[in-house]
Amino acid sequence: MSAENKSEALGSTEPRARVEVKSVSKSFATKEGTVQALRHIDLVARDQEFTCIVGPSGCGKSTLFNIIAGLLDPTSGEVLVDGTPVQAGIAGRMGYMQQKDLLIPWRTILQNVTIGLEIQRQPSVEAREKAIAYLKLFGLEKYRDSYPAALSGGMRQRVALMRTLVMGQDIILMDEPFQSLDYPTRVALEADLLEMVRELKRTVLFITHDIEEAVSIADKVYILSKGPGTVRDLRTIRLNMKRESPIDARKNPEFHVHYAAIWNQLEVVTDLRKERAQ
Amino acid sequence: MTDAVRNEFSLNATDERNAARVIERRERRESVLVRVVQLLIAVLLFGAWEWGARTGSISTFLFGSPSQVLKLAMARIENGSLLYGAYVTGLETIIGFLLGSVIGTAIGLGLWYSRFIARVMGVYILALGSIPVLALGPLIIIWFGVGIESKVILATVSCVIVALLQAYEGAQQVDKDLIKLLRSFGATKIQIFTKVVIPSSYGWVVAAAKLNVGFALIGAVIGEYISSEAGLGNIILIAGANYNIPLVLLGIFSLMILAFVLSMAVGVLERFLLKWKSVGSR
Repeated sequence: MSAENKSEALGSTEPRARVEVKSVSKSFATKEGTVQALRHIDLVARDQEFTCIVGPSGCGKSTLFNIIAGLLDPTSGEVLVDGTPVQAGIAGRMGYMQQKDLLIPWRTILQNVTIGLEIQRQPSVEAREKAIAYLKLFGLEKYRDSYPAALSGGMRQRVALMRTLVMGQDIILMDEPFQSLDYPTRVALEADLLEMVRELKRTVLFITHDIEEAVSIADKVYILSKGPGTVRDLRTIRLNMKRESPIDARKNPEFHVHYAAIWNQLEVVTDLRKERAQ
Repeated sequence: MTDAVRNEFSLNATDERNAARVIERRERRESVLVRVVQLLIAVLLFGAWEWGARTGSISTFLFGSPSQVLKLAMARIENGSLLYGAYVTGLETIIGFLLGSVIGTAIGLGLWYSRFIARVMGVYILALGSIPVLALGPLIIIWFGVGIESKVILATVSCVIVALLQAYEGAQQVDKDLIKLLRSFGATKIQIFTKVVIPSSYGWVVAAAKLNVGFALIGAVIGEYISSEAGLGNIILIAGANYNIPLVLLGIFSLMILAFVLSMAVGVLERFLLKWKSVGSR
């Protein structure tokens, strides 16, 4: 219902902001002096929106996520979630998925999915039931008592995704979650993710340096430049408004327009390459 | 068409199953062969020794003979003195091993809590660890007497440093991203410690335990050599003083068997703690 409203009301009344990053800067003290990782970052993720953040490596994307997740304090500026400021130390309000699947090798698949619920001291029977429901949804139920070593990379990353979704937080941060997968597996997981996000009405912030991935799944893309990380541009995509398939999005003629535009914004990378060549 | 595909698939499946069976059979055959060759070497070695002793080319005064050792073993098992010696040494070793492993592992993992304390203690741990246990022997026997207690302490001291260093290393090796993941779920430091740090150190703890069974036995036997009333070390010491070579050898073989049994017990512990490793690799 609300998704339809959103597409109709495009440009007029936007859905409410869930995550607001307001002029966030972050500096780190190192032996060589202070290094600024982020400078005056502003971004907004609205309800049930799929927001991608692309940028060259070293532009402080992961630092930004650590600040949003409340694992790190910004040097200045603030992050608001549903209007209230986030402080470091108050973690657990958002789902956080990283590039490495980080499955715990001595826990079974089922126990890996329930780890977060266990930490939040949810009753184990309920946690098990929730986890099993997700395992069924992802077709991995028969592996529930296997150990992670028995699973392929794609299956492991699916388990990591379930572990994030089962927590029930409706804001999810994903830091290059599919980076280590081969191309077909990655596209399959993108499709899975889009379906889940649509069905479960989640708000997603997604870091990637794969422009294709960003354009095929995102509603909007923030382009960061590096040294220190700043927002270079915001591009509204909405190719995949209905969140059906990242393959269909790739077939859309507008796909290449967005792709080329973002690529040009990321010229930092090519500049670097030129410098290196000289 | 689909039938053909299915047939081909099932054909492949049976092929695969057959291949797996062939590999399994080959592996089983090899492990039988390993046992046979192991037995053969032992028979050959003891046979040559016995033959040498009987023909006089090996001095029985200096080297004894397998039949002498065997006869002695029978007698000593019958009168209970050998088993009692093994019991005393085994008890000293096991208690010392458990105490040393538990204390060392607890301190080693505990140091994970504070980098500062770990850095302060580092030099003292190294200093204590570099003392040869033999050098501590007289002191500990003066403090704890000639009974079983002093040997338990020596066995404990022999294991504690290795257990500590391994546990500390294991705790340091925990994936930082895994800790970050748990923190993103809102985990407290205690939860991180119990859910990740302790279980991920199991591999290191087991590696330490494998070494420490041997070290504990050395500690116990050293204690018995310095001053004791019973134990396999005591039997060997007295037999040596009396030039009773077969009894010395019997003591040594008994220690060997004891060490073997204890190592197997650690193997059981390993299979239990690291179950996921063997299951996962299949």
